[in-house]
Amino acid sequence: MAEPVPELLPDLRPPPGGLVALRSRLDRRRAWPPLVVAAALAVALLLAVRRPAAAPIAADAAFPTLAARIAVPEAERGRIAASAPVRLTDGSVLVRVVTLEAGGGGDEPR
Amino acid sequence: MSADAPFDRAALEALYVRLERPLYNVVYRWTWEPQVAQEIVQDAFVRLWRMRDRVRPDTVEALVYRIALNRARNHRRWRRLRTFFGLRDDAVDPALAPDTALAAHGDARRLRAAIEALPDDLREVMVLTTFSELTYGEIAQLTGVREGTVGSRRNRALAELRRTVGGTGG
Repeated sequence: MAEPVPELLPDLRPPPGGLVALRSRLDRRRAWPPLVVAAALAVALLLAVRRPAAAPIAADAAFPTLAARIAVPEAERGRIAASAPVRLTDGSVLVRVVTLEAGGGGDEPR
Repeated sequence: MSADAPFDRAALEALYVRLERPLYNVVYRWTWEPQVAQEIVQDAFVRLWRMRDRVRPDTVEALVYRIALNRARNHRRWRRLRTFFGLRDDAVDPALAPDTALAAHGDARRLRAAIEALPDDLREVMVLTTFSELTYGEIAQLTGVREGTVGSRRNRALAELRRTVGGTGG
């Protein structure tokens, strides 16, 4: 340590209670991780409970819906496009397949 | 702290008791706010505690100074930004409160302005050489300069301060 220069850099006393505050901060940090984990779990649980389940739809209702949703762009002509599978009320899964080159598509329960 | 002693809570607290005041004095010359300076000092020790497994007894002191200085510089940058965008009112000068002796002589404001006007590298070396118990070699390592540069920067900083505020001694 070099010679002090009190007229330029006076040796100031820090505010009191520093060590007590430090202890408090260290203890608080130690208690943090379990709290954070518990909070994250609670949020995840809440989101899982509130997430709406995909409701099965009736076959006759599914067809127009899918037909409206599927649009195959020009660049895709000659290829096969398929919708995401939709589970119907009778338990079967419906996938709409469109083959434009063949002049149309079909809804294929499987 | 001896070389083979574990860095446990007791060691951390002992180090805090020993370094609180010099570290506070160093950080204060960046923040000019007593509470903020103290918070930064404590934050440095909290960070040190979180990385205690990697702490080496022979370099722990320099490490805590490095952490605190980085925090102080970041705080300064944010303060400047907040001031620039009008989110902070710098009209009140909280730095003058603890310097009662200097304030009595009416020099505190000029002194702060003079220290503020110093380039960071000069100020850093000046406060570290004045308050810390680090050797010139350790300060050179901490600041990334040669050992001889530490001494010359200190002399330049003090000369600049004396020229500005008209002080003597040291």
